[in-house]
Amino acid sequence: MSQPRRLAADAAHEFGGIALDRSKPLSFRLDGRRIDGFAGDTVLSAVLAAGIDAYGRFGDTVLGLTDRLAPLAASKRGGPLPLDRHPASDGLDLATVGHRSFSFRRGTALGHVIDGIVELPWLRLKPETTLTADLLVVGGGVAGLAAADAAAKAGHSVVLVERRPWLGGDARYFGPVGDEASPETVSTDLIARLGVPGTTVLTHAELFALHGATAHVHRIVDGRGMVVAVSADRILLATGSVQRLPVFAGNRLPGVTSAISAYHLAKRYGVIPGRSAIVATQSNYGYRLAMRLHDAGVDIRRIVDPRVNPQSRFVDFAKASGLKLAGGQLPLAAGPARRHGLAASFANTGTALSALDLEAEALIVSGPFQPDLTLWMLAGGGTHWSGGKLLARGGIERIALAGSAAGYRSMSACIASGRSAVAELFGRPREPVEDSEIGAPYETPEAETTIAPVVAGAPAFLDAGASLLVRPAPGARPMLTRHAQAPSLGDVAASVELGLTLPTDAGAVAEERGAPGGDLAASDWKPAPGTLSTSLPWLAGRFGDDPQTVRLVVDSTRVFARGALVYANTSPADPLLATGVIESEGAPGGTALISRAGLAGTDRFIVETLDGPSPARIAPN
Amino acid sequence: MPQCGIMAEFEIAIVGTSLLSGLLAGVLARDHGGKVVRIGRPLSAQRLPRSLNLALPLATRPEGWRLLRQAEADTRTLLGSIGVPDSVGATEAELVADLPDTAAALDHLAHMAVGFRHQVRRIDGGWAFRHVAVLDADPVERRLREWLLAAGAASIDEGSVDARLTVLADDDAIFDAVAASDRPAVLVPQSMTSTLLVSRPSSAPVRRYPDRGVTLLARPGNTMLAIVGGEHEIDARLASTLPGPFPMKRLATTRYRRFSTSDGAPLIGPLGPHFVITGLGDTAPFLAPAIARLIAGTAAEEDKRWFAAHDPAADRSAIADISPAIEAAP
Repeated sequence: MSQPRRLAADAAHEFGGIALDRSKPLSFRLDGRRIDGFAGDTVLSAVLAAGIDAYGRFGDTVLGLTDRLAPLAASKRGGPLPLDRHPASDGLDLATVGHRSFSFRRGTALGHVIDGIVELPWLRLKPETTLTADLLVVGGGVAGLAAADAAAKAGHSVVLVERRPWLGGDARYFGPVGDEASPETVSTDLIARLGVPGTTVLTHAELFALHGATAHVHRIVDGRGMVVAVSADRILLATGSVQRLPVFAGNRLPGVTSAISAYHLAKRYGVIPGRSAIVATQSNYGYRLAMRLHDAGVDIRRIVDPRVNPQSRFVDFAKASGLKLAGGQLPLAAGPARRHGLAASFANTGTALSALDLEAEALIVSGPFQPDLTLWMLAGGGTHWSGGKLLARGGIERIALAGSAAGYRSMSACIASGRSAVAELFGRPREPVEDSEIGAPYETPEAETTIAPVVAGAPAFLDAGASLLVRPAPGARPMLTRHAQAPSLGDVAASVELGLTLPTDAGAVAEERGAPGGDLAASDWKPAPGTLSTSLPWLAGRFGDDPQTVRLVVDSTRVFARGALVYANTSPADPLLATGVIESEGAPGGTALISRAGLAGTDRFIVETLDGPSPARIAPN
Repeated sequence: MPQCGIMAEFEIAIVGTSLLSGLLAGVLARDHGGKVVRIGRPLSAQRLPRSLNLALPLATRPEGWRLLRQAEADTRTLLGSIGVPDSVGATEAELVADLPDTAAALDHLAHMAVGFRHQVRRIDGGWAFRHVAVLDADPVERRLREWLLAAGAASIDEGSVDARLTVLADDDAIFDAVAASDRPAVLVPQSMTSTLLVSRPSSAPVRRYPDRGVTLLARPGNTMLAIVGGEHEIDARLASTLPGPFPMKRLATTRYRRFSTSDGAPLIGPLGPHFVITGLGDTAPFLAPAIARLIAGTAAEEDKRWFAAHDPAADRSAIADISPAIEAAP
């Protein structure tokens, strides 16, 4: 099978794929289809390079295959693994996990019917091994790398876990600020410093559970998944941030991809989402990506930006490169083009009418970055809404945040925060962290997440992950409490911006779902057995100060149930007029508690049973 | 907190985020002409519910049932006038006892319910109640602010106002405004947990286990909302009430506090400088019209008698009701 979405090896800006060894081609099978790739590919990158970009059908829409939503795949010799962490290797024979519709299975589609998200099968596996360290660093971006380096230099043992196959995080996407060294240089330097005794680095390793000082990590080694326990006195969460998804109809169709994903796919694996693309960005970094893709040979049809006349060196460079720009516009809707690719319409900001219609194979969308506080919340940390983001709130003993997860933005601040957090975790004074950015006169700040007006068409999802929450129709009930999959932080943030969640509730909503607690085990708990009290409080004063206990009998074999109300035989069956109540069942009849007044002058009553009224009389002594 | 003042800006300040507080403010402004402000930011619909808003009290005394039966009808009329008549539906609820005293209480409760025209049937360990009114708070909350405005009630999320009467209409407001030393002994703080789980359906949409401190509500998508009282053995008590499959995945959890009363009866009336409303359990929003009439001085005589008996200063010996063992929060 060809690789239509693979750039040339010598593509500009190293967009030929720095992780690939082009001298080592490989092929494997996925759901019976042959997929070609190179050593260094993940299964996902090779599949996307082959032009397969549709995961499957979700209701009436089709969802794209992305690094944030992809099925697991299993080989005959191993359990299911995530496609984005699974290294491709020659001769693999994999089958995706989930319901597949063969009628839907076509050249660019995996053909799944997505009716729910498969629970990760390793969540309940026991660890195969345990690693022990003074410090566990979660996240291999520059903050995590700097933290691991600082701890190692101070003589502490360190385990660093990184979900992705590479270290360095997202810094490369943003590039340097001012006269900073390049992220490549900084990352390479920091990575080189990890090769010291006492420091263990696990890539392809995702932390999925925290139990006190022990973390459970799912790691892929030699194509096999395993759970590793890491026991550490202190934990540093440098989990980075996640790019938000602009909310518009059709925002998860095949061909729609986030800017950060598009960057990493091109940079690591030489894979592009299409030979032609529209870039819809609300920040200056989208222009940087668009230029690089353009230089690498992608036909950039337009760069669309909701900001009017944004100022940035990247904007200037894009103009100078001859790229077409459209300011003051945002994505309104996307759908399949008549022949091939996507058709996207854009509205002038503040309007709901299409002002620009474009077609391309890909729509690259950029939203603001939300600090990834998923593990922070799992560990018991709080969040609050501030400045259009959910930020960490409060503290957790022996756990610290660093980098963009802690809200820092510049590379230098992320690095400094990693070192500073380690100092604090080990009881040393925390160093100040300065987060400098180029000023607004030169670089227009990014806009908020673009939220399109409601239009007919494909659903508008709130985020790009597995929760699959859809923008509700106007006036309809918000969905965050109805879906069986926990919403992501991006879902909650979008819900705030859509006016569905109060900003003051956003942190609590995120925490409620971000730290739901572990699985519930079966239980046969019962309260300690007791005996019936002689004095029941709800009967106190009910039938006067001095009610009498009497035995009521009937002519039949009827047994009066406990709780049945007793009335004078001339009274309507109004509970407020009841003169007594059956306290215990008899055979026949029962024992009743009856008011003194009710007993005056009569020994005959009506007992209101569930089967209707029954005459009764006081049993003779 | 709102303060009493000689030159009161408002006659009545209703403090609370609950549905009861919103309805109460609107009814007082609309039907009784009071200059009313509601102070409190309603919780977003995405927050986990803390109450079921169910017209089935854990109570055996006929006076309370009579009041609720009338209040339920009033509330339906009220919600119709707000434009959300469909927010009240009907459900089946089951009450299950473990201990002899609770089993006896439920027997009394079931017969009382029959006396007020409910349909009941015996189930293993307890009773099932059909066609129980249940109020869906979401549509009401979405209309509430607009309705309050139309009714002439002011509405602020937070802040202080001058008011002749301050009504603390939910437990958070009481926790905030009444020091522990000023609370009556009958008022017991209780830790609560709301959890959303992936579960098979239970035998009824609502199932309550008073002796285990657990209430279950079936939700769409094979999920179950569980509200659990107390701090000890939460997981074990909760799991013992669920149909499986185990291990059972939790989707969301929140913890909070509420008040219970040690005698199981509601507590409504003046407390120091405030007027407090607590202990109504799931029935609270249904009682908004009745409480509004009490505050406005237009309650019927028998309603007045019931409220007087539940006043914080009243002798409560003749109103004690079902009161399962509860743990006091620290």
